[in-house]
Amino acid sequence: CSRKHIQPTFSQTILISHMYQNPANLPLLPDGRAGSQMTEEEQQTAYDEFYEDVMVELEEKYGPIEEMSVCDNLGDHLIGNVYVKFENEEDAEKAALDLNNRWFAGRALNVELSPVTDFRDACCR
Amino acid sequence: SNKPDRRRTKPSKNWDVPPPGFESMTPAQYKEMHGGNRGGRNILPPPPMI
Repeated sequence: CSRKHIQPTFSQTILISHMYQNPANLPLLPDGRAGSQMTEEEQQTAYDEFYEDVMVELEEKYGPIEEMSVCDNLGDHLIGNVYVKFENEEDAEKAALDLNNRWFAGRALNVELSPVTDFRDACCR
Repeated sequence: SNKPDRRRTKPSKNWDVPPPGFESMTPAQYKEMHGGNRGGRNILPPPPMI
């Protein structure tokens, strides 16, 4: 992948880069123990809460969402990426503009329009 | 509509929470201070050594 993705002018889908910090991917501690001491069940609960938190906020503030996907890849340009497909392009544009000036969990969000329309077919080639 | 009802059941602990010490700064100013947008990517710590 050249990583030189074409950023569309209009799209229903936004990409929020590295938004989800999976506790399972935390670096190992110096003594070799896992970075997160959460059980699998706790990790799942944390993910479910993250998903609901993002989905509800974006629908309330920007408009109805058709689909939302959190990237599970570990590649440094993909890790934690959140793709949100709105029902309307106008809502996606509004969201992309506004979210670039919002915080989430102590981090500044970076958001852009994405050409992805079908998450099942999406692949970084 | 047959969509499930998506309304917040409890206040968010994450949205609009700035990093400690940067409460008076906007996210845009913060990003600029940390070297700009860098092609739309957040600044991440380096991946763990394997």
